[in-house]
Amino acid sequence: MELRSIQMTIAVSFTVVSVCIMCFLVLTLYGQFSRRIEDQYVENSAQLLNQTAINLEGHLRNMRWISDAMYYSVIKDKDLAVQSMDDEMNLLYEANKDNLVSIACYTNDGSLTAAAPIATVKADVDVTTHRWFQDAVGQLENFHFSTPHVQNLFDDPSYRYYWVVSLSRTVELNHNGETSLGVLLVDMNYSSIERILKKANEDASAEYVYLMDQDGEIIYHPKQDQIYAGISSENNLAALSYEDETVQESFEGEKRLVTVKTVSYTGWKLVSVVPMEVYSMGMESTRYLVIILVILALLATVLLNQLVSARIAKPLKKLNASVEEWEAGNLHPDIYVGGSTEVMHLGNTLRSTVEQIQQLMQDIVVEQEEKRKSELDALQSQINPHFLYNTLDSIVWMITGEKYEEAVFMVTQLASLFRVSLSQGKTVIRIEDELRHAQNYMNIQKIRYKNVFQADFDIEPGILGYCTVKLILQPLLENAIYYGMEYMDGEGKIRVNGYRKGDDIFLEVQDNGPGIPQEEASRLLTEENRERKRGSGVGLINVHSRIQLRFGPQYGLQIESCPDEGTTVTIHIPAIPYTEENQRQLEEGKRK
Amino acid sequence: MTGKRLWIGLIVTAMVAILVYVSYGMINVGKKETYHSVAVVLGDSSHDRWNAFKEGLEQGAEENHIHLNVVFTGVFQNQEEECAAIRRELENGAEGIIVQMTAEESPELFEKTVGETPTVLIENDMGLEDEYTTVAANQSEVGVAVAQSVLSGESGDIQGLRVGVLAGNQEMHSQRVCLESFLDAMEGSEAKIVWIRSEEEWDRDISAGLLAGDAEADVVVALDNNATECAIAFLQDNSDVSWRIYGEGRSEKAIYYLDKGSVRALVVPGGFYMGYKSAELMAQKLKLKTSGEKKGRAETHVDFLTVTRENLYDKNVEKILYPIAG
Repeated sequence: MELRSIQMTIAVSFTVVSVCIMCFLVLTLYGQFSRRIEDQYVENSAQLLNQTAINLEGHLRNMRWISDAMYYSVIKDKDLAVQSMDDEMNLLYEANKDNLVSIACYTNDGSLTAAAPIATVKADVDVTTHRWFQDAVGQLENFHFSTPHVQNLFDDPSYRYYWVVSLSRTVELNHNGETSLGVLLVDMNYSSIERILKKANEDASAEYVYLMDQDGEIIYHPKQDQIYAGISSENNLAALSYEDETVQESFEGEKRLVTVKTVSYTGWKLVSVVPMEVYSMGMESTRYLVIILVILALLATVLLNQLVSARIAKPLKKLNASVEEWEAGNLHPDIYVGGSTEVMHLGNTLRSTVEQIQQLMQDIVVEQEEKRKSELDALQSQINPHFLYNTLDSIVWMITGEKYEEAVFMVTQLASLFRVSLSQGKTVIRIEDELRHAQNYMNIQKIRYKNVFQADFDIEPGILGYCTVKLILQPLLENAIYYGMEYMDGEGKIRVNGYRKGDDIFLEVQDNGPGIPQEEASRLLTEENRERKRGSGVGLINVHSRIQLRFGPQYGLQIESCPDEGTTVTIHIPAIPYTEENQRQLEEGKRK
Repeated sequence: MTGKRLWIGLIVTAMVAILVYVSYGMINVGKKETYHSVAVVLGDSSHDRWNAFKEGLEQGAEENHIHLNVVFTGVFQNQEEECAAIRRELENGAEGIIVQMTAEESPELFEKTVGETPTVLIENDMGLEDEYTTVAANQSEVGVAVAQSVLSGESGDIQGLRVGVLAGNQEMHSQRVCLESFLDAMEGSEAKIVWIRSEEEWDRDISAGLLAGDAEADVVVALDNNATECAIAFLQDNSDVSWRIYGEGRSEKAIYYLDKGSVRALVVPGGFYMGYKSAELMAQKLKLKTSGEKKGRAETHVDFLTVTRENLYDKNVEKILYPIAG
């Protein structure tokens, strides 16, 4: 994986930055949203409590009004010694019986004065022992609200029982002008209070509202029966110590927000409980939505970053591929030019650089070729007069000695040799012509050296039509004659072999001369400034270089020599058929 | 390049997987819990003695995602009748059964009827407490509590005290245990058990008018709610009879006559708790069944109160005795 590629670097950098920014934003916004929701819950709880308190206070005010009406409009106006309050009491009861269980008036010793609805008083019931009576007695003008209890006053043969909240107060009873104290009891139906609080608990969430008295005793709780049965419990005693405020508390391992509101007239406390898990449950869908949005945004970011980085990196990659192709040895790479302005500029610059280098290399090749050519021309111009002088001298002696046929042969060979040497100025000629030139040369030399050596040519006819560099055999034959045959005294043998092997052609010049050590033979092809003792001065290295210049570095000469056994010099060239096109390309150095 | 594409592919695949998972979670937010349908089979289901039990049952069912169907029944004449009611409910798709078996001639019939259905027995364990979840007052302790209420209620005048026993439905294992423990608890006292009648014998003797001559007892002990109400009714109908009744029960009638003084003491089992626990245990059994586990068995004993006229309106007693929601 190209972890350090430019595309990867851009993609990863952009992605990391995007993710960090996104996470920061999401966390910040989510935190603010959570706080807002929590505030909303607190506000809703407070509103709910206020509304419930208003409803409850309204109900209690109504009960107080009933009590006031009974006391100030009925009891105070009646002389109980001669008048009954039953009618007014019944009227009041009938008007409010949805919320009332009973209205009753007792004397201070617990005797019933009047009651509505009319019912049989339970035997053996002593109201003075009842809490509502004890709270009220002797405290004029004060109202007392009891906690819910089962009414224990009247006999109901239908076996029914009533949960009530008792509102009791001390009243003055008039008997023949004498005033005595008594207790007026208004038993409110508990179900009225229950109804108000049930309404506050209608929401199906875990949030709930309960009511307790000033001593912390529960008046209403949505799980009241469960609390009474010991199945559930409530932190009501702790809530008793709270002012009218919102408090965070922990109860039975559960964190919750508790808001308290005191109800007027009674000192009762309404308590709203919101378990903290309600927030998280309320936030659940929001949380999922946030996660979905974040993932979608991340997906989009990753893909977009991928596209952007690919778009930026693609031209650079193509340019890099061009450079790699160039590095791999392709001297004519197709340099990519495209992409952004900067990359296009780089491509153009690189392409121009490559073209300049190509031009420079071509110039160097041409220059080298020219140099070789001029060297060769210079050498040839040096050897030709010397060779020509010796040959002409031999011809003069032949004519003088009346050996006219030999002289004619000599002249003919010389003419042929020069014709091949000229070759219309070509450097690359057929192997056939090169061999003819070599044979002409050997025929002349054999006559000059009076046949002290034999020269044999064993050439595969098939190779005659292939290309070779001009005048590469003659210097080898010259070397073989000068260094191998001079002292052979008629036993010298020079053999020229020509054959094809695969796609290559080999021309060997073997002599049975004295030979040289192999180390020295190796140096013949490497030491440029080696001093030549005799001959034309065209060294083996010159021939070797010319071959390589035309056909490439894998071609050239190989020398094998062993002292006292002779020397074999092998010309290794490619098998290129001699055509005008091939000849022209080789001449121009365009084919290797 | 291939490796890089694989890497990007993996990230995208992971994100898509998370996306699918979160979307699934989001779809399921607010999805209501699956409610299980449970049938409740009680003897004489509309009797007010079941009020507190039903209230507890409903609250427990609501909290444990159970849809209740309290079968409207009269007094079952035999076990076959009760099992037929259970069968009918199961055929109608009940996933669980909460049942008070009032007859138990053949436990095999009951076992065959409920099969692998999650079942909670209430009040009566049928002697199969090792096989079924049961929610009931410890009848052995109830018998002792009734005996103690007699002994303390009649304190100072036990010698020669004639005690008649209305033993209730003796076809029920729980009632047999209750009677047995009551008799054991009374054994050491100087009181004399003058007669013992089961519900069946009582009905038969009342019909035959055989009770009048045999009614002479100072104290009548009624070991279940029906027996208590029968004793009260007999007392109302026969002004010459002056029994002092001690019993077990929680019907409004029984409590009323406790308040009136006809009943001297009542042992009252926690009906609300029994109902709530029944629903809770049923929910657990249904959960076990859903998760493929074998039926779990549990035995829950319900507390009871001994209520007399003196403590009838005590705060803690009235909270248990008079359900607010009722």
